[in-house]
Amino acid sequence: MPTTKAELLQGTLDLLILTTLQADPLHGYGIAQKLQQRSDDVLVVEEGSLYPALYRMEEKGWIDAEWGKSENNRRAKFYSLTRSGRKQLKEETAIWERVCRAITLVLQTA
Amino acid sequence: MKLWLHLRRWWRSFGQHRVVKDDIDDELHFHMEMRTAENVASGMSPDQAAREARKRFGNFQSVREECRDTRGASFGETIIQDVRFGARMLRKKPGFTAIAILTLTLGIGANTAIFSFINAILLRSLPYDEPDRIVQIWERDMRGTSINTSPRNFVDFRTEARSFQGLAVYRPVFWVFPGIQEPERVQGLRASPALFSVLRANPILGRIPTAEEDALDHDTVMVLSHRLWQRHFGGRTNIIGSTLTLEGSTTFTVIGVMPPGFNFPNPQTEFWMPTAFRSRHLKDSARAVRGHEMIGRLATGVPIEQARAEMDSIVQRIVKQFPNTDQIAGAKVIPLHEEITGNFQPTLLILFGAVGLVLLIACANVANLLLVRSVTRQKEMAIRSALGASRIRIIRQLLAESVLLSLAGGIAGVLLAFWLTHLLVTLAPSNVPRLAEIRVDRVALVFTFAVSLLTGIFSGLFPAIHASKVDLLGTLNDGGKGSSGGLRSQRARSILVIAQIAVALVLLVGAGLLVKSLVRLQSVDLGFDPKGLYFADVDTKCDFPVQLKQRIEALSGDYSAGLVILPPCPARKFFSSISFAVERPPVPGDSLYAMRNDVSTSYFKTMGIPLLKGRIFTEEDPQREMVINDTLARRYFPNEDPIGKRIVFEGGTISNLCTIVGIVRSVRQTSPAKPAAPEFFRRIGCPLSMTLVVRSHSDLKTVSTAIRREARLVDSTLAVGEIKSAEMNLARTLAEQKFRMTLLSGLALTALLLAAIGIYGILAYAVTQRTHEIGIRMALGAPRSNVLWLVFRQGMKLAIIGVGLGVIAALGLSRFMTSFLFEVTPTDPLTFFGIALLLFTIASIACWLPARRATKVDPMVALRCE
Repeated sequence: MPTTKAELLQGTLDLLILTTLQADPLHGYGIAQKLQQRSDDVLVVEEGSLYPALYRMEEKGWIDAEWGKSENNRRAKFYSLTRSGRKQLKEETAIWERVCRAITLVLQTA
Repeated sequence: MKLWLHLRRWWRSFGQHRVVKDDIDDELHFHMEMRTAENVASGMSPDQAAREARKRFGNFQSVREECRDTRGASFGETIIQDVRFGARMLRKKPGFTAIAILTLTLGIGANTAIFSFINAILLRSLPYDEPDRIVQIWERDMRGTSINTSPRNFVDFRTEARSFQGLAVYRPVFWVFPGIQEPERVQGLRASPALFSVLRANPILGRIPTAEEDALDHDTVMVLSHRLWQRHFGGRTNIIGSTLTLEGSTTFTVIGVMPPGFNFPNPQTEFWMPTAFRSRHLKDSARAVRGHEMIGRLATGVPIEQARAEMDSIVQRIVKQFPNTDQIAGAKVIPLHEEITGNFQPTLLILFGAVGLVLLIACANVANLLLVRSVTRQKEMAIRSALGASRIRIIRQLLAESVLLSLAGGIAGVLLAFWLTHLLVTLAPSNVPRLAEIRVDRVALVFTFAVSLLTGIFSGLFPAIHASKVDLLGTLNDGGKGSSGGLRSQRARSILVIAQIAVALVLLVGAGLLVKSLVRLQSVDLGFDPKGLYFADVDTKCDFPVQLKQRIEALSGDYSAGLVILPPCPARKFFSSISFAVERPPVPGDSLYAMRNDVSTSYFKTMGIPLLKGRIFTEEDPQREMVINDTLARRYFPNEDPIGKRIVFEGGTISNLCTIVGIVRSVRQTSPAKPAAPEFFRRIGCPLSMTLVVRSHSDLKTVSTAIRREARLVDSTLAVGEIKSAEMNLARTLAEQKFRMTLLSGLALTALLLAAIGIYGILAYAVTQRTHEIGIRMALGAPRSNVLWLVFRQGMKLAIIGVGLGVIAALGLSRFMTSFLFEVTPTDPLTFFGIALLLFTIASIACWLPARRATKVDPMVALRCE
């Protein structure tokens, strides 16, 4: 079990969700699980907050939603990246990396 | 691109509001279940697992609400909101709403009416079983003209052709029925019994003729139309099997009654009887004795091309075998639907195009109105957008308004269309195919709905996109005049007005060309004076028409009368020329053709056709003398005197020589639009049908009464057909041109009116927008004429561009009308010039009114109102 749980930086949730969808379509629960696993359980989002973000991104056309069958054979909504979603992911990743570098630089020089 | 994506999603989600709510719940619950299940798997008690899941999820209610808000914004609920809001906004501006709806009503109503015509005539299939398998069959002569067939050839077709389930020939026939009050001459059909099986028509009462009855060479049986049965026999069912004696001597047995809708080949046909071919018609020498039309039903699986090829080969076999009796080149096999409606199709398509253009102009007008309004509502849009409404939301709301407008226009348009369609049916020439079937039906209503919806989107989309480009700061800071946005939309509206003027010009040019054609047609020299000339179809008992003619000539007053087989200018469908040669029988390859018509000696005097040379044959002549018209004389005897020439007609031998004794002036025989053809006249004998020609100064009613009274005195069992004045006949031959002209003119004038309103509207609005500026100009001393010119110029600039573009478009489009024009070229300079002038005049009136208003601006008021 992790000892510290990091609060999510504002605005990074979209980036993280888009990243999890890069490979395959996932349902909301799957996205939550993947986020947790990938961050070695450091990043734990309040799971409810995923959904408004998903709906918002769907509105913006970054992701597409489709109803399908989950692994336990229940009706579930699967999200996948659209073309403009991929573009958005690329842009946000670039920005994120720039910001990270800048912060690291600031911290080092301090 | 993005806009499109949104529109698509919005469309897809239309009306799925409930489903969406449930979907959100379902998705969130799925998450909770999964988390709980996993918690249980890792060892928690179910209670604890559920609690833990809830904790990790956060506030379920608020998440759900947030999701709904994000999503809900583009779903059904807001559509209802949009519509309600739109309706409220439209109610608030009743003037604007009324004008917009009225414009759309005109456009949509006219479209529905014309579409009803197209639907009934071209789209709906014929009222027979498997109607697309029924074909009309013609023979065709060396020049490719359709000609009808002879009984003898038909017998060959029937026995040899394998491509048809059945073949039938028919020709019109007239019998005088005793009637309840007075005898009535009724049109019917002699037809092969196969006609009924080809059409798959069954009687509602009794039976149809058998092949045996058809083989007899005398009349025995008759099938009645539903109408005739009701009118003459009171719908008595015991009529079947009873006998009828017609014209005093011929007895028929009534064997059947057809259902009400059955009226092949035309609505005037009221009875059907077997062909009763005479044995002399079935001899090989009678192969050229035509007069029969033919239809057939294609055999199962046989394509029409195969039937064509087979008929062609049979014709060629006949021609090869009997080279001297018949000169035909092949056959034509045409789908019956095409045969019936083909002639009228171009007219309908032109009208449909025109009515579509009128709708476009109406759309432009409404778009214009919406643009004007969007300027006055700029502030509203800015506030909405500042409060967080997305661009798509604003567009949607404005679209909801325009679609509401157009649907209202559509509903009113349907009402207008019911009335218009009725009006058009009464205006339409009686030879319009399937006239009785024309009505606004379900298909037309679906069409109207689709058109209304499209109209709403079409007229609203441009203004909506335009209005949604809100310049937030600019508009909110601006004193509410919206001056910068005003300029932008001013340009958009200018483009619309230019387009309207251009389209109106195209329509007006089309109408102008048709009007000019009709005027030319009506003033054509027919070769006879139609005034005071009357025609009556008379029966075939030979002495009847001759005696009737004599009695009428003997009437006190100014009556003169003549007899003729083919009277001029009710265009007959078949008016084929026959070939002839001088001093010998014609052989295949001879190129002398003329029409042959038989007349009584008094015919020329009655018609007022002057004798140019020689003399007219006498009443006693045994058809060995002939008169020719001057067209024939000029064409075939250009450098010699035709009088005294002896000729033989196609099918005749050297013993049938006829001598030309005189030359008369030519008459336009088939139609006022067709120049006179070469024509022979022989003394009339006893043809199957003929027409009595009467000239008198009395009116139609007096003449009719006189003719009918005299006819009864000659033979009380007989009657003459409908008595028509030559002027009525002419009107009938010109009816289609007139119909086309009237409709296109009506549409063009509507277009002109709408375009004038368009240009007036844009200027009137510009004046109110520029009141302030005009006030300053006047305060600084600009004379009124300057101000007038300022506004006037702005409008006329649009008119000039519009007319210029319209002329270019019309030059390109008018050639599609060539076949409708008579002695007018599609680029007739006078028409183009006149129409352009008309448009300029109307445009300057439309510009002058607001320009004058501009000069009335009081500088003090204009400046103070800031």
